[in-house]
Amino acid sequence: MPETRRSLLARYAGIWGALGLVLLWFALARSGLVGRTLLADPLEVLAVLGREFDPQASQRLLPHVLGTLGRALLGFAWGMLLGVSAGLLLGRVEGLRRASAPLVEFARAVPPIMVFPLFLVYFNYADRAYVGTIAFGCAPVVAITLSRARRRLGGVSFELLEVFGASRRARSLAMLMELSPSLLLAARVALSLSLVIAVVTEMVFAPRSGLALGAYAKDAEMAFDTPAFYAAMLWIGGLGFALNALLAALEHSLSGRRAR
Amino acid sequence: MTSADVSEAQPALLRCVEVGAWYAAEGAPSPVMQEVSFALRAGEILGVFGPNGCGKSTLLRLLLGLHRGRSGQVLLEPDARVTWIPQRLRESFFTWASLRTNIALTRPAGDAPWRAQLERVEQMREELGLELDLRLRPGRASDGMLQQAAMLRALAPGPQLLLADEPFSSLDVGVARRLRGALRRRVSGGAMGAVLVLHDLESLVTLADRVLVIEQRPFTTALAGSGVHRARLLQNHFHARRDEPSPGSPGTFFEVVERLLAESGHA
Repeated sequence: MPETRRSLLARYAGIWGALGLVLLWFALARSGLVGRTLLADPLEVLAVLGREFDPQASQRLLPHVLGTLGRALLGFAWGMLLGVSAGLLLGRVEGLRRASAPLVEFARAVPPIMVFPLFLVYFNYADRAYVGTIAFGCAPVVAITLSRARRRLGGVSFELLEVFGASRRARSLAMLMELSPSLLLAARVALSLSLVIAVVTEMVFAPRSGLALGAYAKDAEMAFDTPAFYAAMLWIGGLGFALNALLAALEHSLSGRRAR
Repeated sequence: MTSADVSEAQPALLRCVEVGAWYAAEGAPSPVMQEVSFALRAGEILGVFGPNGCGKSTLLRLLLGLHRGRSGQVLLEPDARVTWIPQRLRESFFTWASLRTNIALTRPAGDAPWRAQLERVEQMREELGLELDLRLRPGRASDGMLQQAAMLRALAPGPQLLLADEPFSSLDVGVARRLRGALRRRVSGGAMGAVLVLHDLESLVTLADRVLVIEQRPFTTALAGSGVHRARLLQNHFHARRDEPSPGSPGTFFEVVERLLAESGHA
């Protein structure tokens, strides 16, 4: 195979893969081998997605997307706040880390969806129940990653700052920059997790506003509206992809700065 | 070492009184030094010389309060500004920042603002005649460049005490000579003292006023007990008067060091 063709294939491998999958989807849907209730026609899904551009259309997906995204991001922010604080504290105070290790591992092992009913009752079925469940799912992952990174922090560079009597601001900046790869890694995992938990909790119990991708997908599934269900799935996947790509770009930019 | 070296009557920048250090090991702790006493005055450079693993770097870390297993007293003049050039030099720089930012990060709390510090560093670089690109990241800098940056970092805050571990080992002859000269001038000004771990004879001979010669670990400056090796403190007569042995000394400083090198298999 000529070099240029091979490099084009390699460079756009992800796009070719996605394109191949769409073609396969088309072929399968049009062949009649799989029933319409199981596999929607791509053009029908496209029509559902296209409603966003029609001001007259009802049942637009965007309000649901924004509802889910809002809950996921708020839960993610709380999870990061709690996880980072706890991680830094646990990484710094060895006794506390040892004492709380079983509890943190226990919390990590409990599926967040199990605490959701408790949060629903506690928060009187408000959106805070969803946000709390997402934060509960994200915080232990972030705390464990950060506490490990914080424990590894130190060495000659930090000893030097201490000897020279460097300012607290300089030390904090150095610590933040040294922790940033772990922080970004934890954020990527937590962000994916927050979206998953948001959708699952919405599928279990629809929020009062009714604006939720999970609830929309579940209703579509119950009504055998397969194209709408697939459209919701594409939105969820797209959101996850975009958020992950955003953090990956940030991570890449930072690691590039670190390496230069 | 004579008792005069640690006499409290003499003003000292740094005073070590019967200092001991050890490393935790399975079973009994492994001693590095016992009852080590000496004093360092402002305007003086103490060279520390000895084979690998004899405890030179541990001595510096102990003086800085960074070594955990220790006994005795390390007394430092109150409010003395201390700077350090560590042995693991590359690890002492943050890889995400330029050499300039690395230097400015160590700016002592309450010192001149960041911008003024950067200007001071640049000014000092020119003063020392160093052709060093401070915009470089440590990952792109050679060992020699890092040593130049480390010397800048250590001198920029205007320290009263500099502790340096092999600060000239990777420098080319010209740069090393320039930096040695700059250091000597600053110390001779009388406002600063230095403890330097040195391996090369030229630095020892041209810089150190006195040299602590350690031959083996564990070492002591007191009368040697069983299993402890006596470290010797030599006046640098060669530095003072280049080739004349002083009365009562076992030869010129150079001859003493040469003999020690030969004895320890370093020659």
